[in-house]
Amino acid sequence: MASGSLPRRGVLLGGLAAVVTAAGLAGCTDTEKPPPPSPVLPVLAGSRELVAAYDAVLVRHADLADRLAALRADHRRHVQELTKRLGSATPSASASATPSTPVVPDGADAAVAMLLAAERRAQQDGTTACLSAPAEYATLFGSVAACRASHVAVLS
Amino acid sequence: MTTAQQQLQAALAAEHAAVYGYDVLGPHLAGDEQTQARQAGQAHRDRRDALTLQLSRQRVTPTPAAPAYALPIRVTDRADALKLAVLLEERAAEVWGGALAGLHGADRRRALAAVTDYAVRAVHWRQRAEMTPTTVAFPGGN
Repeated sequence: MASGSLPRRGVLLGGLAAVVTAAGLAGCTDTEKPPPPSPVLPVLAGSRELVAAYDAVLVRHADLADRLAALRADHRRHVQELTKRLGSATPSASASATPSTPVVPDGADAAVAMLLAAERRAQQDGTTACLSAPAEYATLFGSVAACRASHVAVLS
Repeated sequence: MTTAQQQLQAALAAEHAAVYGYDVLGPHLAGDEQTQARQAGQAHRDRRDALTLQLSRQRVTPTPAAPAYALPIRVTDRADALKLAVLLEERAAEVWGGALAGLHGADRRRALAAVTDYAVRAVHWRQRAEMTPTTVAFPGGN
């Protein structure tokens, strides 16, 4: 008769396992907080803002392209790399939020000064981000901050 | 040796190489540029000395300087010297940039200061050498 009871026990255990699994899943969804926002987000936002600032300046002062286009290209590469590192784990809405377009001064010198100030702020933000970053982002954030510093030197 | 100490040793080796490279290229520059090369060389000496002291205090034998280093280019004139200066700064920035991941607190702060300093110097030499583009997107690697 033992051979007849085995399958029944199997079914019973299987059913129990299913109940436990369901309870476990329910417990997870009830208690787990959403993951903290990725440390990439603020750095990415900074790079997007810089791209937008260069875009706006170059629309208004096309003659500055020789001086500024390569710098804008660096920021675009930062956006690309940071977006890649952000992956698909984070809701894309926050990542793709459109940065505000700055008001560009009439004079070319004043427009460059505006970019210089933006680079300075962004360098400081990048430095802060690097110093508090998890190990896997430290090199990337450090590079972004150092690149922004090199732009400050070029624009000064 | 801890991971942090290994990173500091790698940075120290890069600083030894940079000091050597500036000693080689300096005589091929004149005036302002020679002064700037001397200052840049001194920045690498200062970091080398600070690292040597730091590692010694942690009872780790600091990586010694090699008698000579294979340089990426042969320097015979000003143009070569400027090009080598760019390469030295970019190499040093990359090594310190790679070290960031394994360093924390004050060590990471100092490493980032090195990456930033050398990225700015590399751009300066690129401008002098009239290299384009003047900047690189990831001076410390990514």
